[in-house]
Amino acid sequence: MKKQQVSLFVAFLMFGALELGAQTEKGRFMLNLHSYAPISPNAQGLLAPVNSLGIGFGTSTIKVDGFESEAKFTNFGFNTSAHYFIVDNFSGGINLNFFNQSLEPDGGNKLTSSLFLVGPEVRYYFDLNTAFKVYVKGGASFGQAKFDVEGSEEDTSDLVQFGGGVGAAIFPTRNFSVNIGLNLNGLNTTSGEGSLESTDNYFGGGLDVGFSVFFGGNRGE
Amino acid sequence: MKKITFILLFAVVAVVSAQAQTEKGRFMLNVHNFSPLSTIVTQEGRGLAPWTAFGIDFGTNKSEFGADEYKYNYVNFGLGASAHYFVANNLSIGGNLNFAHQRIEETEINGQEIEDGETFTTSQFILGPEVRYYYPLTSALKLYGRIFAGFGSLNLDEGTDPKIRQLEGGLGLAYFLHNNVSVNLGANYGTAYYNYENENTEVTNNGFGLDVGFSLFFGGVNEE
Repeated sequence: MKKQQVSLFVAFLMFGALELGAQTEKGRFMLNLHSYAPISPNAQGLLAPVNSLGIGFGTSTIKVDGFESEAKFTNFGFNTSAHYFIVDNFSGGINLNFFNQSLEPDGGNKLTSSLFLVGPEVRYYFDLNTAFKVYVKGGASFGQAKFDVEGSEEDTSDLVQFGGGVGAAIFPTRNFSVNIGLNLNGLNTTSGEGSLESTDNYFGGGLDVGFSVFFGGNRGE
Repeated sequence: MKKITFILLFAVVAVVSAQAQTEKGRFMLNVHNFSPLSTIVTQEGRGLAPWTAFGIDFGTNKSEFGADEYKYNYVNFGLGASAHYFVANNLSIGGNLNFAHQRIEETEINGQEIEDGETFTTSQFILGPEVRYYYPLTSALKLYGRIFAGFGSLNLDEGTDPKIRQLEGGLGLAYFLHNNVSVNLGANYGTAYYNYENENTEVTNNGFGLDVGFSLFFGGVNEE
């Protein structure tokens, strides 16, 4: 029985070794879910540093000295990128960061805060072994952050983000990897005009955690 | 022919191994969303990340308004994780931790370094027991139910640190890519209660949330 198990395990390793080589081949696609922008774009007073994919909604009840008020809240965050392998180990794609939060008090004005960033990203993978790769990535994103209180003028900021990083991708199977990386990024936000113009420049590092799904290509068909 | 043999062998190994995923005696580590109910807006209008999985970021912020220029250092840290032990086949108990921390420190005004600049620190800590039950649908797909009760606190600079009690339950699907790794997608319903004792204020958040994460399984008799 033990010998049979060893044979199966050896066969599994051989099969794995044959198939894992095709993870980052030319012609494949890759979808990633990852941490948010590693530096904290201040979406008009709302920091959301590490969202991956989240939806939450419900009610919030506040009781002060026996007086009760209620508010409805909705949160949505989505941070993803989609890539295509142009050549073996080198992919080009689009990165998207989206975040929206709203709070609607009973009988009060609705508050909405949102952030949207989109832009190109490239990655290069170095093979260390069949189940472990190191990648470098770089990209730039452009977008807007908005803060709106119902009944008053919307406050808008323009965003420009650029940066890069290195990371490790561990492949438990050929079509899936768990990623952990370190990024260095800059973010510029500009709002207002004339004497009311305000500029923020962020520069910093951050941990990037997420996972990737690989599909398509000659060996994936 | 060779490839078919490999596929068959792979399928046999997968089926034999897949049954061992949630057996008694195994351990499980999960990284997952923070909490769908952490929609807290803190002092200065800042809010902590509602769906933190695991993140650290730090850096500097230069802020210009008119002729004035301010510089800040910032650090953010978030972790949503749980560790479990399978006390019976498909039934695990463990501890769940949700932690978020943010610190912003004013360091310069108009090019002049300041020693005692304003500092804003916010952190939230919730810890408690969690129980999960897995129901196998196929060798690679399992349905799970979970219940979590958490206790903790939210620490603000204002000195009005509320105590937190949280109760949450949910259903999810765990897709096993391998005997030792699953990707999880679930939906939770819960309630989080914040008691600001000093201010005679209570806040209760009730709601649904999507739960995304992954789990690592290890240990147990099958790996000895």
